[in-house]
Amino acid sequence: MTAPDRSTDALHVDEPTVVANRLSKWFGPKVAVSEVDCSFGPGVTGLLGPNGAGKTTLLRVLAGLLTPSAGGATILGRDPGRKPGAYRHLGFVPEDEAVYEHMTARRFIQWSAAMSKVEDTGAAARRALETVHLTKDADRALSTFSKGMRQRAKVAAALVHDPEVLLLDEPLNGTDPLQRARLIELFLDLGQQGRTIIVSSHVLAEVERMAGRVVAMVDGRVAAAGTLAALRDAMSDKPRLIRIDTDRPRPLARRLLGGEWVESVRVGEDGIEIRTSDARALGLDIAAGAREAGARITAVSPEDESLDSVFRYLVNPR
Amino acid sequence: MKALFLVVGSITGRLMRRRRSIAMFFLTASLAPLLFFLALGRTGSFAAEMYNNLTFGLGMATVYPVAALVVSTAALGEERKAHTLPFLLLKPVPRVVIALGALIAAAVSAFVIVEAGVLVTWVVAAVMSGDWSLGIATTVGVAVQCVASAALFVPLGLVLNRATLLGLGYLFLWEGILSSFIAGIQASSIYRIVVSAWADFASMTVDTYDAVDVILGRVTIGAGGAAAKVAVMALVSVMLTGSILKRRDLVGE
Ligand SMILES: Nc1ncnc2c1ncn2[C@@H]1O[C@H](COP(=O)(O)OP(=O)(O)O)[C@@H](O)[C@H]1O
Ligand SMILES: [Mg+2]
Repeated sequence: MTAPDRSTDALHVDEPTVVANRLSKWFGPKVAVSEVDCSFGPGVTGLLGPNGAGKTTLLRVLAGLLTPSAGGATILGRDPGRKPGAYRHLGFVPEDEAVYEHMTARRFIQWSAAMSKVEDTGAAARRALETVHLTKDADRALSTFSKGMRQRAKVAAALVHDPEVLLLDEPLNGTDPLQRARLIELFLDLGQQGRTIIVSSHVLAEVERMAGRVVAMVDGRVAAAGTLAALRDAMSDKPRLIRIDTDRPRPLARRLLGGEWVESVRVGEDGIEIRTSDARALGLDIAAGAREAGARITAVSPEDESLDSVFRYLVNPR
Repeated sequence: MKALFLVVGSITGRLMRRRRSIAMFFLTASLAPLLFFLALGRTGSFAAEMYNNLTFGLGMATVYPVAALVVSTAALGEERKAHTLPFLLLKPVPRVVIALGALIAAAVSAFVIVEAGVLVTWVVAAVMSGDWSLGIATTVGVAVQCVASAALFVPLGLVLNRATLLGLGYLFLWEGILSSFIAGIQASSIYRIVVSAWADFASMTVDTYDAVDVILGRVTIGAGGAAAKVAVMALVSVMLTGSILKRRDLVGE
C-alpha cells in the first residue's frame, strides 16, 4: 500500500508549516475536533465554520494550549506544547476579549516582546502599535479599551516578535468596518511576506475578502478545503430551495415545472417552494413564467442560504 | 533570568491591584485597633505581651495565613479564570520559570500586603510599649508564612476554581483542629513552622513562652529550621506547578 499523494489533495499543501495529523480532541463525551488531517502553508488561510464547529479547539491544539486526545500537531516541524522554544516563531491571538487589564497597551506589547526574546522591545512595540493603528492610544490602560481596540492590541502583541506563523481566532469580532478593512489588509500583507496566517471566522464574507485558501469545518471535521472558487463550486452543485410568494400558486407551479432545472415543487396556500439544481436559470425564468400564468409575485427568497445549511450539506450531502 | 523578572512583574502588578488584596491589608491592619483597645491605659510591658499574644494567637493563627492564601491562589488562578493564561504560556520560556515566577510573585505580593498591616500594628505596639523591636520577629514569621502559603496555594489555585475555599477549610481543619490533637502531623503544620521562626526572634514573657510551647508541641523553636522547611516546600511546589503547566489543558471554555 502506498501513502496517498498529499501534495495533490485539497487538504494538504506543498510546503506545510502547520500540520494537523489525524488530530482529535474530546472533552469527556463531547468530541470537539474529530480526525482533522490537513496542513497549512505560507499565505492566508481562512478557517471557516459555524459556531461550535471546533475552530477554537483546533487552533488551541495547534498552538499547544491543549493536548490532543489522539493524533498530533506540529508547527514548523515541532510540537510547541512540548518545546516552548517554538513559540519564538509563533504568534497567537486568542478568541477571548481578555487582556492584561492592569497594563497600558504599550506595556503589554513591550512585555510580550521581551517574553519572546526580542532585543529592542521599545522599537518593536512602537512598530507593532503603528501596524494596528494604536499609536495614539498606546499609553492608555487596556481596561479602558473597547472590544475592537483590544482585538488590535492582541494582534500587535502576537506579531511584535515577527513570527513566521500567526494563528488568529476570530480577530475581526467586535471591530468596526474601517478597522476590519485595515486588519484584513494587514493579514494579506503578512501572508504576502511568506508567513503562514490562519484566521478563523464564522462569517463567509470576511473569509472571502482575505483568504486564498479556505478550510471549512463543521461538527469538528473538515468539511471542505481548497480555494474559494473550488469551495463555491462544491456549494453551487447543491440543489437550492427557493420560495416564491404569489397570488396564484397552482398555475405558476405548473408553468415552472416545465424547466429542466426544476427538481420538485411544493404548492402552498399563498406560494410555492421549488427545489432547483440551477438557481440562476430558475431566476431568469420566473418573470416570464409569472406573466404566462397570470400570477402576481410578491416575494422570491432562498430558503436555505444560511452558512450553516451550506456547511451541513458539505459534510453530509443528501 | 530576564523572563523570570517579566513573569514576576506582570503577576505582581495584577495581584497588587486586586480589590481583594486591599481588603487583605485592612484585615491584617485590624489587629492595630484591637491591640489599642486591649492595652489602653495599661502598662508598657502589658502592651508588649498583648502584642505578642495577638500576633501568634490571632495573626499567625488566622489573619496572616488567610490573607496570604487569598493572594496566593490568585497568582495563576486569576490568570486562568480571566483567560489571560495564553499570554503567559505561549512564550519561549521554560514552564518551570513561569512556575517559579508565579511563586515569587505570590510570596512577594502577600508579604507586601500582610507586612503593611503588620507595620500599622507594630507602630501602635511600639508607641504603647516603648519597644520598637517588637515587630522584627513578626516580620520574620510573616516572611516564612508567605513563602509557605505561596508554595501550597499557587499550584492549587492553578487547577481548582474553589482553591480559596478549600484553603480556608484546610486552615481551620488541618491547621486549627487536627494538628492540635495529633502530635504526628504537627511538624507539617505551617502554623507551627511560622511560630517556631517567630519565637526565635521574639522576646517573650514566661507566660507567653508557655503558651507557645504548648502550641508548638514537638516542633522546636528555630528560624533556620523553619526556613529550610519552607525552602523544600517551595522547591517541590515549583516542580509541581511546572509539570501542571506542561500537561496543558488549562484553557477551557
Ligand atoms: N473545555 C471544553 N469543555 C467541554 N466542551 C468544550 C470545551 N471547549 C469546547 N467545547 C465544545 O467543543 C465544541 C467546539 O467548540 P469550539 O472549538 O469553541 O468551536 P468554534 O470555535 O468553532 O465555535 C463546542 O460544542 C464546544 O461546546
Ligand atoms: Mg471559537
